[in-house]
Amino acid sequence: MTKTEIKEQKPASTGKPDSETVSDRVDRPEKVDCEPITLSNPITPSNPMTLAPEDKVFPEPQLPSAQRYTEHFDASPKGPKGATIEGGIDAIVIGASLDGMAAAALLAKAGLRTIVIESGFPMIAAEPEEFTAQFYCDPGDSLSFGIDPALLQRIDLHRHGLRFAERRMETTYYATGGKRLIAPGDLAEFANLEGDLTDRDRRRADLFIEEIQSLSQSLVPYFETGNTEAQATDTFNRWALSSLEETLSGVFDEEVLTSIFATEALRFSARRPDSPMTSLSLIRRYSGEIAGLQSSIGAIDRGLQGLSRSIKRTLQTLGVDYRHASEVSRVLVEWDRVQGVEFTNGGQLRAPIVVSCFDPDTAFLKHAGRDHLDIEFVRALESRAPQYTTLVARIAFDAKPDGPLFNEDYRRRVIRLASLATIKKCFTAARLGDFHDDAPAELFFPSAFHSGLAPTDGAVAIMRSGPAPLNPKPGRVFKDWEADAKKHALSILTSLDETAAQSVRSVEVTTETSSDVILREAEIARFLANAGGLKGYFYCGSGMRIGSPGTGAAGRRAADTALQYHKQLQSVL
Amino acid sequence: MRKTSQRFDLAILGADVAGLAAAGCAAVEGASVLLVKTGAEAPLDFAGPGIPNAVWRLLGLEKVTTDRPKIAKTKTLTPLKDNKIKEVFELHATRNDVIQSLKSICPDTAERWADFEGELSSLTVSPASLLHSHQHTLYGSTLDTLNEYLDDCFDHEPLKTHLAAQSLLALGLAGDEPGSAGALAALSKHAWPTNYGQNGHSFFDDFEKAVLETGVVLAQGGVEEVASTKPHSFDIKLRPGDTFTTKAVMASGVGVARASGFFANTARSPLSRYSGSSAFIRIKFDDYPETDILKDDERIFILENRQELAAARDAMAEGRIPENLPLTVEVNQRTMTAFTSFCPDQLIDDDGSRPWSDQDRQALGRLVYDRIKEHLNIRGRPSSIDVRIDISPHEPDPTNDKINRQNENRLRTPIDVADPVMAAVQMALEMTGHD
Repeated sequence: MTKTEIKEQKPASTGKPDSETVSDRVDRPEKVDCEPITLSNPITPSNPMTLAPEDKVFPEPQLPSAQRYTEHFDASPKGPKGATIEGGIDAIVIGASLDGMAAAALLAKAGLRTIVIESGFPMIAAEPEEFTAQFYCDPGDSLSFGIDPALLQRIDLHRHGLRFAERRMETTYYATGGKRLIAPGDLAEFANLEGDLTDRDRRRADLFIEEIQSLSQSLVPYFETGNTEAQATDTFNRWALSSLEETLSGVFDEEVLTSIFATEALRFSARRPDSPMTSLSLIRRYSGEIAGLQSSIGAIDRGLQGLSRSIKRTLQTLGVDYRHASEVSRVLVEWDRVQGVEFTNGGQLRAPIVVSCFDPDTAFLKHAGRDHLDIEFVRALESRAPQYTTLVARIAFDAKPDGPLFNEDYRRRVIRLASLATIKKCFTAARLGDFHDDAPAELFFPSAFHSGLAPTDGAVAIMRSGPAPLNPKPGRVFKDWEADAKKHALSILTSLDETAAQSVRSVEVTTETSSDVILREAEIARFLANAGGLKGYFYCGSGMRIGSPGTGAAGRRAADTALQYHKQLQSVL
Repeated sequence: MRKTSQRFDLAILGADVAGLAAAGCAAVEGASVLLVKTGAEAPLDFAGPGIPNAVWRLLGLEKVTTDRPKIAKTKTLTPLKDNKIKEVFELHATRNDVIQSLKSICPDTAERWADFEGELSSLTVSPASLLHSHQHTLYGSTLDTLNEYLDDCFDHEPLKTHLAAQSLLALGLAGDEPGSAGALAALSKHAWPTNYGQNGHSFFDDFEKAVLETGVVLAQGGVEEVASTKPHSFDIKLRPGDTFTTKAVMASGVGVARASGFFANTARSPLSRYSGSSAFIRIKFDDYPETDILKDDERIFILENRQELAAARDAMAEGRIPENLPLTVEVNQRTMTAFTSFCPDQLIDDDGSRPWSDQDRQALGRLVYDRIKEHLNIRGRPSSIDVRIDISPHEPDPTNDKINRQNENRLRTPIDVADPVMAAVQMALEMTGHD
């Protein structure tokens, strides 16, 4: 490693970084070069920022691979004779999730000298994982149910390479008894759903979706700022405390439509459809926005890797220092204010603002420390054992057999429907440690959109099914759970397409945390946003998720709050 | 047949404890109130909902009795390790007794009881407050599940089972529903079950008398129709043919509204459930049913652990009678009353679904008696078992569709909360323009 000088990074808005040297001299590894990005397609009123053109106007990001970071780059400050301290920074973002990087981008754009520390937090989809020989998959969700439109507008990821392989993905619903319906990618056209339905039901479905979409819009101020006045619409008052079962009761003549909305609402839900407050779960599916269209589902080009690269390009443009550093051991707190972070090697980065996107336990109990947090806050953070989970299966296919899944539904999202009564039975089974044979499931083929994930003749699918048991049945072991889960995934596949299961090379299973009801998510998010009374500490991790996952809205909210705090600090100084 | 010329400010359907309290409080505040004894009120063989302090003061109930006739103890049977011998877990009506009792069973818990009890009043919330300002208490939030809340507060499982039983058995919830923590308000001092009649003395009669002295007019008869003749004017037609005119009309609770053939028009609360029936089982004995475990002036919950609640809820949702049916049991002289909220609206088996038949009711009565006999070790044979099923108040009644449609949106009912008396009083005062 060579001894170098830290260059103070001026925000991109003020021009190129200058060469002013700050006083602290530290050991720093070789800096990774990043190509400057020239915007060849300037933003003008006639050239709106919403979508990147399909042809390659922008250069491909010339980023170092994640492996290069990992091998050569530990930028936590340290010195040959012990720990050193690095200062001159306005904000530190710990963790490189979508929300973390979004927060960093917005802070930098506002002129704050910002550093992102990857620090043990897996960078979003740095590379697809090889889950079985020659078969790859994104570690996260390749399907996108929306990216926060306010975030897109402010940092314009499209300008930095974000593209969708599919923006209006259709959904095929498989109902019991072999009924198959195809919903258009644009839900304004839902009435034209392909399938055997009455005109009355089609009209009602249209109105129902409209009601959900309008409710979602009216709730934005509530989720954003906790503005309690904004939410009191008639629909909200009618829906907020009702169960999903109650809200859907008597709306449609055809049970299949009730099943569609029930299955969509309870995608990854940890709450039964007859539980209070589950009605609002519908907005989890229908609130997101893809390329200007609400409730649309998209597939990001090159999956999460593509998203990750576009954000990193944005960070580079804005002059954000992105570091792969040693693990953060703690957040430095003096009195009730954050003063930076300390690494396991003893080095420190000093800054008055720290944004964390780790899970709540790590961000608060481990990094901030119980002693610095309100007692009530700590109590509330104590982990609570969830009862249910969502099964995620990655499936490798040697070949694409001649069935409906590969011939007709390969570039669609596929949903196996379950009725409300069946969903309730699934919850009962999951509580007792069993997989229910008729559990609802979602299937998606990333290889249909991104080449290179599977050999030429093969395919990769991600299946999600829930509610699934969190633990094996009493008296059994995890291996049994895994075997049961694989068997369950294959049985779902067979029920959708008998020929598909014969081509399966391997199935890998894992779990995803199931969601609580939206009102509680919002409550928890507001609670965590207080950061237990710690000034200068801002949180945008998993606990801030409200509604659609992975939109980046939590990062934007954290950045906005941090900027207000920064303004207060400036006015005091 | 009569039609009074008096136009009431408010008519309340249901002369149960909540209806009486609501009528009395509105009358004390100056409203003219008609109270209708519909005959659909839930049976009140022994204990009923507690009367909040504010109502007690407003109605001057100290003139009726010097001491609040609360039931002395609630109990559950806790299985010991071999699952055969069961220990009685008791919770007393007074704080000192509770703390003394907890000190001997679980000393750590006794220290926390006072804090916990202090929290209970803040758990009594309305849906509006839930939506507009989520309340955080020392232990959590009112949107928590009851199980999470209890797990945060205590470690002693028999205590948690008992508290869950006392809070949830009347509501038919399992404790894993978001917001069910609010049901713990049922443990607060003012909501503690009150003994309305025992050993020949009826506190209910005294209470009714005190309410009628406030000027409330009592009418009797099933409700035939509630017709809106013009804005803020309703004609209430009772089955004997009497008709009354009122500016506003409400029911004392969703149960009364539903049993009178109305579609309940009520704001939802996290403690509402959409489906599921309640059953009252009255078991009469020729002699006093001898049991060492349950005495007059006590209430026992037959629930061995909290998992049984979830299992019962799941069975109910699938149209089955739960295997281990959670029960609330009381005894008053030669009558034993059991109550459960975990019955399905319709019974579902391999042949499909069907409404409750007489045979089903009889079978439920036998099952309940066997369960009580096994747990309470009763000596003596019953002379009769009566079973009454009240199907979910939120479900429209398929046999009474005309009335359902006709009266939809005309009958307001208080929200489902752990403290039904206060909810009815608040609604009555709000409808007559008082806070």
